[in-house]
Amino acid sequence: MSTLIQPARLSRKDAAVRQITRNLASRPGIVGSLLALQLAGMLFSISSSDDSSNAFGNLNIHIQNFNSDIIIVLTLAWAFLAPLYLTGRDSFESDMVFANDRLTRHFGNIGYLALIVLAGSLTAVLACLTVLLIPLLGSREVLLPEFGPWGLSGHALIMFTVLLSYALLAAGLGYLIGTLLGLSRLLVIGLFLLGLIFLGVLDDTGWHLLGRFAHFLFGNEQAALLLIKAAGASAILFAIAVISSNRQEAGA
Amino acid sequence: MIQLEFEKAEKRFQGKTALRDLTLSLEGEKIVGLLGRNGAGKTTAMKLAAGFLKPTGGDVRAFGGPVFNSLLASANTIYLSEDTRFPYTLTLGGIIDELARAYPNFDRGLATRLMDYFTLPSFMKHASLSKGMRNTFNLIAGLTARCPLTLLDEPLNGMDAAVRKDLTSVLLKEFIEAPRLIVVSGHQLQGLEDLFEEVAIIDKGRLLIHEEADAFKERFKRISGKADAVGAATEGLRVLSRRQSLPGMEETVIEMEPGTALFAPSGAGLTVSSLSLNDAYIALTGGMEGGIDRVYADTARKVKP
Repeated sequence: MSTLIQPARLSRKDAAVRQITRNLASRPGIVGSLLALQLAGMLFSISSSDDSSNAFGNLNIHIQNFNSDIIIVLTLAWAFLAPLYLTGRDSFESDMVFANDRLTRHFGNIGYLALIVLAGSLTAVLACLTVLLIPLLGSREVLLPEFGPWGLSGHALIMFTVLLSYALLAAGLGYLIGTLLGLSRLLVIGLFLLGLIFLGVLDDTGWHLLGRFAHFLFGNEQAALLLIKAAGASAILFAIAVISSNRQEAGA
Repeated sequence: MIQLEFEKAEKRFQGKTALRDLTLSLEGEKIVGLLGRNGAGKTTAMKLAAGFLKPTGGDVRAFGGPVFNSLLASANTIYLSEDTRFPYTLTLGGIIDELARAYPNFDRGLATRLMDYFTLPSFMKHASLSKGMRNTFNLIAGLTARCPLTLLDEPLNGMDAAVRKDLTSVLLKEFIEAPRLIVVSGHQLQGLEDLFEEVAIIDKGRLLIHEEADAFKERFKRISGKADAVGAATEGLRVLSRRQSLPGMEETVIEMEPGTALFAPSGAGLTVSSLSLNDAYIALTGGMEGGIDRVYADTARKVKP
């Protein structure tokens, strides 16, 4: 029996949610690379800890310094690089095979990035804490460093907030650069050079734009304020990416 | 009723015009053949219809508005070609899952059964398939998505004869089961041409002809026989190609005015036959008179190019 096909309506929300689900299913490399980098960071942190011992009579103090900065650095590098892959021409063309327009694709991608950056920041903090707590596995008594008025959990929360802020900024920047690269590599190089000249001219006139912006963004006493400002700045970066590529062509 | 309209559509790529002033209206549930030589502008027209490309001039409309960047058009259109890139990490089964999520009318059961029939293992990756298998999968995906507007660009490339035959049956059965506007483009469409209700022929970026497939085919005749008899019979007619089949013998393809009939003089030993759709459009869009034989003959005679 024949069934005449009627045009289907699809809401932007549904299309964006499907894009998120598709990213989760079809781009396992993004999450996989995060886990691999954080594991590598943990191994590096553990293996590169430096020890020193002091003996005072019967008292023997063994100081072991773990530096988990490498986990943070690798997580931030990943937050910058993952959007470059997500916005590449191959990804764009394969996304357009499915029911999508440019806007819903961007919304889906940004939602997906927000999700994985959130999860990545959380796992990075957990990885840092794991490295820190490794000495506790031994039988000896351990004196942990001072973590501030809210203890270890407060320290972890602040660490998470700060890392999430920087990761959102890195993701926003990566997404914008990746999108512009998808449009034209010459455009990115041109904009970069123009930006350098513009900033140089401003610096010469005594108006240090980059410094002022960095001070506004990062010169905060409170982590929550940093998160709000970073989320706002990355939203602007995402918005520029969305607007600039709303006319991108597939298979041109 | 589905309607796809090109209104003076034009597409330029870095100063080179791929499609110019294309005005074409396709409407209703039917299978349309979009024919043309390599580089004629078929793929550009298909990508404009799919909303992948933005027209440089004019307009391409479907589902009540311009198709470029339209979610409604995208949700109801599927475009597949041999260059279609699916996410390379997905297996064929994974692609089917994603297509089922994306297109509400997608018939997953049928897609799976067709994949089994054509021995396309669901665990394989799209990029690892051969050209023929990739096109087979694309055609299955494109047809079982059951979009009101289905655009298939060179769907039979690289397939062996048996698969072509089977997939032609699939196309017909799918059209009967779920009528829609199916546009098939290409230049190797033997087997599919009987399914076309309409043909649109593009040549050098322009629309040459758009009419019913049968009426189009009927306009072209091949007359063969002794060269002088063929010459006499075709005098005053529009000759598209003329070639020497044997010494002293000639084969000529003519195009008749619509609604006219051809009467070959009896006793002249002439044979008049109809052309297949494929041969008709090749004759229509062919190069110089005499075809490739003329090139060799001119070379032998040392005629300056």
